[in-house]
Amino acid sequence: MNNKTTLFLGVLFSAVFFAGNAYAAEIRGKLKGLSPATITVSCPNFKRSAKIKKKGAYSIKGLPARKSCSFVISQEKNKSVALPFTTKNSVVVYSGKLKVRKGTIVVLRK
Amino acid sequence: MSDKSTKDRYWLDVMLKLATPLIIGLVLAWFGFFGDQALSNITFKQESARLLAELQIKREQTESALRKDIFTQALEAFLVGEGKDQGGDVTVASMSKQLLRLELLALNFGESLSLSPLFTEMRRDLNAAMNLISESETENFGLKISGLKKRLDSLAKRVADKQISSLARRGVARKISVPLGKVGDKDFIELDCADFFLANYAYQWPEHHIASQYQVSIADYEKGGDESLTADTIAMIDEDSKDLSQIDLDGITRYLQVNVERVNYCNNSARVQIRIKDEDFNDETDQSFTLDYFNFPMVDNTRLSHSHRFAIVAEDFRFRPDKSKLELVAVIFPAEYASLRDRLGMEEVKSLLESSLLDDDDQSEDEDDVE
Repeated sequence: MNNKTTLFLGVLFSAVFFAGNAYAAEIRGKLKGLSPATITVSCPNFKRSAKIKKKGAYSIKGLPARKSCSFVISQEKNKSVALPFTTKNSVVVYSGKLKVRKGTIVVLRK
Repeated sequence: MSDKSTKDRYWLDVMLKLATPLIIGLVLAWFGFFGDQALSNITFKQESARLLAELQIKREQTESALRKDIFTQALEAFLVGEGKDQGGDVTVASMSKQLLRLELLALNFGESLSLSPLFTEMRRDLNAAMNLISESETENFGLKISGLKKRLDSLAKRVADKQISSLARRGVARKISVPLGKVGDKDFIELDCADFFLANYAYQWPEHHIASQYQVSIADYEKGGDESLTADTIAMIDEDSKDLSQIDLDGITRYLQVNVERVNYCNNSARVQIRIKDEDFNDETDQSFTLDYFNFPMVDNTRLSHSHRFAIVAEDFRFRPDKSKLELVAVIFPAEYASLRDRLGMEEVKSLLESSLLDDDDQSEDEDDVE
């Protein structure tokens, strides 16, 4: 292997390694009481949505680690405010109950 | 015909007379053999159980002795050393060694001893050392001491996290996020140690948290409504707050309210008021205290009725421009999971006895029913 190949492999390995580290968090849990609903997570340079299943289970992977993020729950015209969370742990568990109040979805974290 | 039948009976008689003692002998031998085997089996099992129990006791005794030695030495070294080196000077290395002793104590005895005074003392020593920066010849002294402070907080968080996750499995936990907003008109970089977040009002969980979800400002909610905030909305906020604050454990319903104020940026501490109400909304506990990273739930907890305990820990003081917040975890758990030093009160012993007697009665009633 010549120097260029070694350098290329080194750069490739570092990119894969650091990419894995930068996107390492997940938010999951059970938000019951409203189905079907959608959860949309926003972090710096990151936005992703997922459906909340019948029994309330949801999961979004690939969140940037150690960042301040927020999520919004929506169902048709109803929407919650942005609820903040941080990805300081690799798995953030956010479970609770959902209620629709005058067009606003209220999240009661349990 | 009659001769043949008499002959047959004769032989049958002879055979029976011969076989009976043989069969009885064989049966007795069989009983003897298997009885002996069963007895030796039982004896062997009893012996094994006794040996196992003895081994376990010896292991525990040895471990206790070892832990006692470690505890005595580490505590002695911690108290005598006071973070000074042999020359009696405070150096980063001597403080680091002092922190190592605390780590040893906290990780080995954090669940059975109240170590918060040692943590507080260590922080005080580190703060005092920070004031020596100008006198110190070392260039990075301040940075290194600040690193030690982070290590101290991280150790406390690790011990508290371990305890809270163990208690949450046996009890009921609530995560509480307190947005801290700004300190007056000051910018984040202008903050100093005399500044407090939430200096002029207390953040009330869960009411203020629910109000924010209705996009109602805390000031409006506290005012009790105007044209934009109807009584209807306030009633809904109150209803959802009650729902969120409800904690059920072993069939006992309680309502939790947490008020947070005066969050200090330098010491990572906050003034916290805890109110726990029973299912009829009567006060069961109402107490205020300063909460920091050095509150360990297995040891620093509050007694509740029905042999339950309540504890709250600061999971994270997060100070960022416009995103400062305090993360708390509150947990109600059965008393048997509190530290060993936390002895049951007379009332609790009485209620335990009563409940065990009740259980016995229930059991005997069940047995009667079966009959």
